[in-house]
Amino acid sequence: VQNEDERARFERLVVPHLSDALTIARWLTRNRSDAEDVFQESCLRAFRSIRQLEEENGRAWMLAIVRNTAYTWSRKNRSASFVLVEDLTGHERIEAERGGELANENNENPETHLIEKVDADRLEIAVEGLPPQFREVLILRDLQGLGYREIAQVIGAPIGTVMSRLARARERLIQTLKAGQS
Amino acid sequence: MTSPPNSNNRGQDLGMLVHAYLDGEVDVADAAAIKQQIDANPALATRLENYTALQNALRTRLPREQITPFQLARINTAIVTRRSWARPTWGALAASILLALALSSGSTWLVLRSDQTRLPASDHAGSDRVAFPRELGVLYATFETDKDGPSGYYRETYADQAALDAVKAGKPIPYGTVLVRAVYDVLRDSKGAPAKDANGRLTKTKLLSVNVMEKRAGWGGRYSAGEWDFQSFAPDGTRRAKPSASACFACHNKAQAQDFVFSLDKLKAAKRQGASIWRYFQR
Repeated sequence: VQNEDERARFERLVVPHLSDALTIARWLTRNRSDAEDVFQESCLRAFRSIRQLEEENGRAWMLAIVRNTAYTWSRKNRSASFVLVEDLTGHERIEAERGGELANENNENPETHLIEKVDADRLEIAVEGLPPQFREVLILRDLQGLGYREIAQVIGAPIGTVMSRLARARERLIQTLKAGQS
Repeated sequence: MTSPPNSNNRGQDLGMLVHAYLDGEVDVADAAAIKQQIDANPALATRLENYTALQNALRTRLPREQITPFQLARINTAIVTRRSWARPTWGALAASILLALALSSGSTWLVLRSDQTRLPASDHAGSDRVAFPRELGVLYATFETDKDGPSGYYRETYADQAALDAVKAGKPIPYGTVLVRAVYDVLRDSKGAPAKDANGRLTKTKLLSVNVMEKRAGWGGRYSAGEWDFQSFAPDGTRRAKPSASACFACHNKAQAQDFVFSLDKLKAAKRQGASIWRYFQR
């Protein structure tokens, strides 16, 4: 009976978010077969600790499990792609914080045009090239539509960190797309 | 959130505010003031345009995963048995094929049994005795046109190897057989009519339904379709209402001469190496 309660709880609170879970697994591992492994392990972990899940935050809870599983997996597999990036270059920091006064002379904005026209493959490669902490907030926000607070729950960091990483992620992505263009 | 972090520090954080504004993470009261500041600063306005374009591109062009009914079924099995599903459940497929299959998380010609003993009671209580399939079987027939209606669907029919072997040997369809039909929507033109490609074929898109018929000793009785029972599932594995099941019985009764299976000839003609990939598209 206990087991059935857990299953019902899992189905009600976690199963609706499994596509989101698989999506973030895919973007963290950057390939689908590894994503499947991470995903299945995450499901088992989630089921084992389903009692700890509070009612209202099933998605953030599940995505946090997937994220932790993915990072553990990457350490085990010594994936170079998971090297963590702590800080910004001075230039990036200024860009992120001052909001582009550096680019003030640029009135016509060919960048917007470039971004609008970027093809899916190039965009995918550019996103995959982002450091994982930037990539995850970008995917959670811009692809999966989570709010800052929910992202903060998933990555276990303050909202301010979510904001600055998101800003850096977007700025880096735009720079990459620009660089690829020229 | 109620207010953006550092909102009292605007001189330094205008760049951040552009993001918060774009993401709808500022108070309504703050939003107007922030928008004013952005509009007054061409560089910020440009950034807002860029980030908006970027967000739009990410949302519309990056792939999003969609869990398939079979992944869901595997998870179900895994949590019931408290074990990971091992890669060997992918069967005797060569590693290279395995890799290709992993791309679309599909598999074929794996033995298909609805293995009810391992499913929780709720899955086969009362009349809900046909369980959601854990694996696909061998793809033995596809139907690209729908003579039953004008809308057009794409249908794939799968059987397990034991059933294929039996009918090929001229034996009756064995007990325990599970036939699975996956019904997809198809690519449509602007008027909603099925759009055919250059070869006159339909292109399947979103999975609409997983229909299962299962034969067990002693089943039947309420309806006259031999010992078959029927169940239609939504792609997420939830059961569809029963009335459609009785419609199944009524229609399949017409195929009594061929063990109630309309596609028996195709079943007999199926090739063992008919491996194809279960594809599942979100759109």
